[in-house]
Amino acid sequence: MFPLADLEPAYDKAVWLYVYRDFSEDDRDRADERIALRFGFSSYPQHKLVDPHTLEIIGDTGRSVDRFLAAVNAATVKAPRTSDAHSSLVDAEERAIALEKKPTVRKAEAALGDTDIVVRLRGISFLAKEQPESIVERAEDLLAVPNDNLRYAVCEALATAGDESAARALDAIVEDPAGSLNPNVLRGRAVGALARCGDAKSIEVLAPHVDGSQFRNSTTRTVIATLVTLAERLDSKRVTKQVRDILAAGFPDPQEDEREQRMAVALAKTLHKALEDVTGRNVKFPSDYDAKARKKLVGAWD
Amino acid sequence: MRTRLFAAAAAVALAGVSFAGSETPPEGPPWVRSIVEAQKAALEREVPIFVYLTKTH
Repeated sequence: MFPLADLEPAYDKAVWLYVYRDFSEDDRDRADERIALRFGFSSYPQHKLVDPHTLEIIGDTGRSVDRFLAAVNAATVKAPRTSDAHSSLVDAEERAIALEKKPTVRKAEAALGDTDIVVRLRGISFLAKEQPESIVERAEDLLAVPNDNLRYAVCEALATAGDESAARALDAIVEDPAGSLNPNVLRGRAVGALARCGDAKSIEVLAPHVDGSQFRNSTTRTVIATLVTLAERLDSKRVTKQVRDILAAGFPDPQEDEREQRMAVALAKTLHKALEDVTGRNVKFPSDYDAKARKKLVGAWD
Repeated sequence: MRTRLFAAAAAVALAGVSFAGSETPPEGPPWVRSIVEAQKAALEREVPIFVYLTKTH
């Protein structure tokens, strides 16, 4: 895309910032990582237009020449009356680098309240390893920040050290991962954290995501695993029955395409195993997964 | 005819291309590598920053 002369009209209509991670963690890679963290990038490629005053994303150029030129032409940057945008960024970079080089729990905790998202993320990253409880205390506020990398880190901390006080905030992300550039991944992380932090209400939130048509989606498996864990942890007949019914209704339809059928059967086996774990029953998995076998499996757990 | 086929193939390739990514930016645009530098230039010129995160290593 980029070597094409067709994009030349846009060369002077934006400042072109190239970001490449090699994960060497040298100074160059750290700088590029900070850029990715700042804009919430957790997948590639990304091609965004950013307002230099606010450092907010104002557009996506896409990957076609026409769309690229249209996006750049439509982007407007308006200077506020006064701006300390540049000095703020320079200072923030210095704070983030200082935390990278010599982190301590005290500095990382202070960073959680920083005005800059990258500084906060450096703090969270350190605390996730050293003192995840500090993140758990602030989880609800942190999960409201529309930055994927920050929310992933919080979910990770909650998955290891959280409790039911985070259930509603996690439920909200499962229901609507608003502001995410990678909503399926964010939802999956929140679902994973609910295994430890979820309660009976969380089961209702998770139920729609045990969807047999979503056999290609890895998050479906995460939902199933979390429901099994919740059934075990909450340990009530009502919850067990509720989870059983949710899982049994999730068996996918058999597929005509061979590859799709393999994926559907894989999901069916995951559900089958989960139901055996939840109900304590042993049910034979059919050698041939067709409509008749599916119907029999659905009704085998009452 | 051959030219049309090539153009069609190129269009398909453009739609699906994902630049492999390397330490060296692709030729053409006036790339910068520092967000501090990018912001300074963008503020001076009152233009947006185009941030391109390529395929990683």
